[in-house]
Amino acid sequence: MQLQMSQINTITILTLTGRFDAYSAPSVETQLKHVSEQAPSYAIVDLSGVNFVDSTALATLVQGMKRCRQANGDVYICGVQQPVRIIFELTRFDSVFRMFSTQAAAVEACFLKV
Amino acid sequence: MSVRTDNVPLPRDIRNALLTVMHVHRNGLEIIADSWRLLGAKAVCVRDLDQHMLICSPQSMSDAPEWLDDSTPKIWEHLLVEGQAVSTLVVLGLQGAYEQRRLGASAALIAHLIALQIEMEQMTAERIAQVKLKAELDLTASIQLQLLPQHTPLVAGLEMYARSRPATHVGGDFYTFITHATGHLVLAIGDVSGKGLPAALLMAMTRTVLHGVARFVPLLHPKAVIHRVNEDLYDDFTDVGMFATVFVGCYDPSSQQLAYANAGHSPIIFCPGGGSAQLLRADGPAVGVLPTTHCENITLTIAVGDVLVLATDGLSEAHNTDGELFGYTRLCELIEQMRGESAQAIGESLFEQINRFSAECDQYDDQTLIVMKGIAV
Repeated sequence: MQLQMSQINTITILTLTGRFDAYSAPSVETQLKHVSEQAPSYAIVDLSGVNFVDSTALATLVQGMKRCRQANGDVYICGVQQPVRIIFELTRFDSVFRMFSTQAAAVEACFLKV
Repeated sequence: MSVRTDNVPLPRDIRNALLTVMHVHRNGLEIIADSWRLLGAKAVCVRDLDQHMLICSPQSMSDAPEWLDDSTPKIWEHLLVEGQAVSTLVVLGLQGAYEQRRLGASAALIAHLIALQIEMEQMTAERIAQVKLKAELDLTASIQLQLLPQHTPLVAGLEMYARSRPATHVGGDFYTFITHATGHLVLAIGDVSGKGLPAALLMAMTRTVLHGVARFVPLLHPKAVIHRVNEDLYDDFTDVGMFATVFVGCYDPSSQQLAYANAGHSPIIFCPGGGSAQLLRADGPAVGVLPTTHCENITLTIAVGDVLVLATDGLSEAHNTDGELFGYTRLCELIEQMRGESAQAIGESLFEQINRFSAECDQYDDQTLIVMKGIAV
């Protein structure tokens, strides 16, 4: 998996490509933890280039979301494609995270919060 | 050859290696008693039959220590263990260039042998640690196996098949059956995020809490079980950054109805006798994700010929050498093709197809499967 970091104003964007699994989860965890320690604690995880997520990856997103929400921020997810979308839907992770079809929509929603 | 080591507090691995090399090669070396103390606790002195002195230091020395006369002809050899200099061997008492060359080769050989011996001892220690760890893992695996039902229950109106196989020794998948005197069957299947020992530890915890809660919650009220399990485990799961998907069902043989609540578990596939297989969506997220769950009680009738498959994602996410996933579509198609068969035949066939699909690939995740099929009472 490739992880690209970018910043739009104070919003951190993590763009992931490839398999998001137990091997690649630690780097995402580190970045989300870093965001939760900043103010404002908002991160957008762009999964448009991800073709597989396992339970460790989902746990990493949940942990990052919990940390950010505790710091009055959040983790937004955007660009989820099949077959990852069906995993989010079947397991109801789509009700846990705020999901956006595009990165631009997620950024716009973040701006309303910060 | 005599060796006295009473007052030689050399690190044990270097001392043992020195003794072993001397013993094996019978080269008449002798550790000079008290040399450790005499040399200011910095090195041990070894003497060969020709009275050449070999000084072995427990640390790697790049420069001659103060107690070594700079003008003395000497040979330095570093003991390299896994590429790291761990000790230095110095040969003193050399007479002339010829002897210096001859003894230089001998000192290099001794240094090399000592280093090899240290490496071998370290490898042996690592091997012993590995064997111990393997024994503990075997024991953990057998305990975990005992936590799973040893038999599928006999329930009026149902045929059942259940099997779980972890990706490594132990895993985070579990399933359980609780039969009641009323004839009701409470069943649960779950999957703790991650794999291996951390998942196994939380699997045991989740299963135990679930068993305890299921005893006190009224039958046919599975959502209350999930609510309570989430309340009990939310903080622990948050502390360790994990979660568990849990499906809890209660089957009533008199009505052939299954009341269930599903906290983030997938895949659950229902294939009616005369219809197509469909994936059943969870009605709330996994245990440990949110402080309160949103699960509901949902009722499903398992009529004669209907098949309900409760699996963990290790089956749908089994992959082949091209990285392609087995996927939900294949699972549904197979279940539709096999629905005329017994629950056991369906279960065994699913595992066989997945084995064939992912042949030559390591099993990536734990795989657990329960197949329930409605039969005539």
